[in-house]
Amino acid sequence: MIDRRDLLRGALFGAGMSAFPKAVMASAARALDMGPVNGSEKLLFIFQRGGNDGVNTLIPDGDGTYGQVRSNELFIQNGLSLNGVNYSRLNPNLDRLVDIFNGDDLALIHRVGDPSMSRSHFKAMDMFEKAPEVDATQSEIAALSGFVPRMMTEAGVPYLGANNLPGAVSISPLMQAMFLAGSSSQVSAHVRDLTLTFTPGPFTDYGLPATSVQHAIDNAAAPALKGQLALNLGFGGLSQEGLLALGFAPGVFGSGLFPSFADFSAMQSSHPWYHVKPSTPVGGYFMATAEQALFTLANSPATRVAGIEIGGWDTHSNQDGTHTELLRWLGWGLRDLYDAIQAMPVDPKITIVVVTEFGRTNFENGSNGTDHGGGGLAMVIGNHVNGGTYNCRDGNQGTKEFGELWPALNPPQWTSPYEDAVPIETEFRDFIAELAHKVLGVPLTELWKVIPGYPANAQGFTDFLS
Amino acid sequence: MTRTATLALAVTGLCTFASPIVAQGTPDPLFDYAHHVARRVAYGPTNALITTLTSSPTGPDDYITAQLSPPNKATSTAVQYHGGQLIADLVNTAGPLLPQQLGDPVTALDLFYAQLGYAMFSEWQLRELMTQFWERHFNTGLYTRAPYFNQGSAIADNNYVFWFEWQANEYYREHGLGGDGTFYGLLRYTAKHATMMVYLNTVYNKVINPGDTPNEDWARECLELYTVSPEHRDANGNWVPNYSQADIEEASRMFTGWDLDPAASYAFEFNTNEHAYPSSGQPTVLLTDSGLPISIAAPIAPAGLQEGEDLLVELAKHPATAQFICRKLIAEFVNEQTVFSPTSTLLNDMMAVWGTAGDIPAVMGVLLSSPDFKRARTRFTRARLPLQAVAATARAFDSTMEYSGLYPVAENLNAPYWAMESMGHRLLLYPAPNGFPTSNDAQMSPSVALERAYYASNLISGDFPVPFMTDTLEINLEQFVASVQPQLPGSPTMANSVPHLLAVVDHMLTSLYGSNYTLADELRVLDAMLGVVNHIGPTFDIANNDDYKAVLEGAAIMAAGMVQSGLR
Repeated sequence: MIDRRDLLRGALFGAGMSAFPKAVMASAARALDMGPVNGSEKLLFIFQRGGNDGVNTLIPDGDGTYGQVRSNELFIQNGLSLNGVNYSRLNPNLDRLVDIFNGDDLALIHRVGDPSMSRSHFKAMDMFEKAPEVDATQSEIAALSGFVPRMMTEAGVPYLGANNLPGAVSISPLMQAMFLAGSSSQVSAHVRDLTLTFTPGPFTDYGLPATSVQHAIDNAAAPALKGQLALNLGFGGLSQEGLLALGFAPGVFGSGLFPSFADFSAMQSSHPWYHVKPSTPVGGYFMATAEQALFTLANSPATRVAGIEIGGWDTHSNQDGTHTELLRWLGWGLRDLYDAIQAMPVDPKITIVVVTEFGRTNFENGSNGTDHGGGGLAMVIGNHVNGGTYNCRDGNQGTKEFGELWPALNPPQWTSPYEDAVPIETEFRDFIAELAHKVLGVPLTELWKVIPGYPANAQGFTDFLS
Repeated sequence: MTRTATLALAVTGLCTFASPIVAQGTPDPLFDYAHHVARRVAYGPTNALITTLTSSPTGPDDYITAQLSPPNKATSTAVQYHGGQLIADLVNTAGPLLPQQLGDPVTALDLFYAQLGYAMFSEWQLRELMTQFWERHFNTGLYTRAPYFNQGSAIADNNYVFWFEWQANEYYREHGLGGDGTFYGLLRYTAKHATMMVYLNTVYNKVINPGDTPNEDWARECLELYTVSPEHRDANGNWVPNYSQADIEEASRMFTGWDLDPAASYAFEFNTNEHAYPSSGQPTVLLTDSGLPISIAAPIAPAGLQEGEDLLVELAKHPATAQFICRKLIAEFVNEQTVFSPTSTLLNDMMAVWGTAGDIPAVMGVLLSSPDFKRARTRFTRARLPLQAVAATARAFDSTMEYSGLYPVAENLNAPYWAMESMGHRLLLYPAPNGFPTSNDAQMSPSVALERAYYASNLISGDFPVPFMTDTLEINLEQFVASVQPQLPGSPTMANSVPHLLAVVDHMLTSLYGSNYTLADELRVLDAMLGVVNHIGPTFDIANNDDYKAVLEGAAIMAAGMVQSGLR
């Protein structure tokens, strides 16, 4: 029986690989020799920054007022049917997700968000990424760490595990707020998109050790900085296997042991899951980082949480074209990730979580766009998912429809379209708690350490996970 | 020579020539304060600047006073205004780097080079810090809105995008500290300029047909990010919300009809038929939640422009705006801990001189003369932003630019540009309206720390991994250490060169970090020298100029890659 390692070896060393330098194959082989993951559950967060229009992503087709609020360019009439779902339709640009849904591996959870219904991007993002007390002020929230380091601590995940690989990694231009350690010593790694990484050739030409930067740790001025910088030691001390598993290997130290930038581009396109190569910056960036995140989670036993992001969802004007393109990239990327995971003979046990800071106003504004507001749509993909739609149904409940009833988008009691925004049903704090408990195994009694003030029970869970 | 033998010599040198190597930690209040001013009021020390600042006991404070009054553009020569011949040449009005009018070809790189050039070489360093402060405050990622400008013109979208970004950047440079020097002036310019109006959809904020609703984008961010902010802290230390959703909706309505005229180079225009006039003739009251409401008179058609204009005036003088901007300035120039320190009066002192329009030089004068700014424990508590980090390293080694004919070679700035890119910061193109994050946490991720070390390596060695980076800033390390005593002996051997090399170590660290380094730092730089010696191997000969230069480069890379390079 072919195992996962053999499959990857085949993919890497099969047809088309003869042009690769020996160093590429050697380092790839070393990474693969690390073996399959150790069986621990993992999380991959994909943050849609800007506020995705959930109403036009999972369309409440059964709501007769949908056509009233979305009467112009933003009315979508060809939504896709989903098995067991009566009330809603999926945006046609997410067509690649239909099979996943029908295979019970996709949960679409409507009206997820911050119960204060903040319409500020920055407060709403913080409400998810930092999981603060419900009544915390914006300034108090700004001073908090991200929830990921706290979640790792309570799940017993070290920030540096085997091979000095990090427990969590943010793959983004800047460290995402959910990974910031604050005063904690639980430091996440931060890896930029490989396509922007250049080799520091002369660093080793001069015989300087790759660990030179560990000096940074010795003299850090403040404990928090010291904590942040401590991971340099991890990077500096990483084995080549570790670097490759992080997706960080190509050319990082210019030592000749790693492939060049051009080699990496070729290697990238040969990956079994890299069959779509977007041409736009946003799509290309998303696909590249999604692949890097998967590569890291699948090959690094120590890494339990990764985070990437895709921006551009703040569609205040001329939403139609922008939203269409973004959903296509998202759908393609998610499908590629899913297919790659399915192709691995050893299940890497990755739960993919797509989340945004809020939804959009129900009514179109005067510029064919939508403004900030209301609950957003979250998507969760993985083997532990209770497939179905949530918080978007009526009394005629389909077999895959769960959660609360959908409120009309344009109820008669409203006197002003300004009031329009779908109310929250699944609070961010409950959403995070369910992931922390059911995926990473944080005990119910310890959830308050991850999410301040959280009760020691599962009563708030939506049960989108088994 | 073996590593052990050389280390032994080094230790001998430490004992014999104690003077240079124990300079670290030596208390010298004027020297330390001068370095602090060079890190906070400038983009880092240069040897010339430190010499100037330490030339008299009042040198640092005199420098601050001078920096608070940059030259007026209208009455200065180009060299005076830009702050030196080199930067004047780089952005020369007759030169090729920057556009002179709408439609001139211009690239993002041109804009980056200009920002880097100003930061590294302009004499008006505080003005440049303030320019970037306002750029971040009024951030526009206009690149994402390029299609707006594609209205049948033969001129490429991006020429418009970069022209308007440059125009706004120049305005903040001219008026963000000198010139008009008021917050109100900056706010009004931004609100009516193409960069912001396109970026945050003001140009789409129209109410024409029944049922049309205003576009909230600009009004929301104007209140949240640019003026009052969501909350202010009252005299009892309690956080008080400043506005409600209803305020945002009313403010959005007030800005309806604000537009640009493509036929007039995208100048501001007001379209009264796209403005949503209030239904009653009563004034509109906003910011009631703050406890300090403002009242805007109802306009009579077609004078609907006035209510948006009045709103900007009221927002600029609102105490919550003054507090918010002063908080940001304290966090930037002192540190985040000082903003609400119970022992500090700085925030109140700055707000007291805000006035009705936000007097920027007065506010900055209070800040930079305050005990909070001057005290020793403020030093090295702020993480450098990417631009500050790349500029400081180049300045510490007295970097210069090559000239090709009349003009500096802008591509010399490739190394710092790519380093900034690798640290996650594309100047003028940060995508979100809240601007590039400035907190310490946000600057200190592991990969950013690595990038700083790589940058030091690339900059000092002049060696780049990609083919198109063939130019680099000039750093003459031999000249940099020429005045170091004792000098390299006439017939150098490793044995008789150790005192010189130890003094070089000290000189490099002092130039970079003042007295903020330790014996361990010195030994690390020394170890880097030895690494080069061992890397070259048995043929190493310090009398060979190439070998000597390699040793200097190894030391400089290590010194510049240290943690202090990320702090200011």
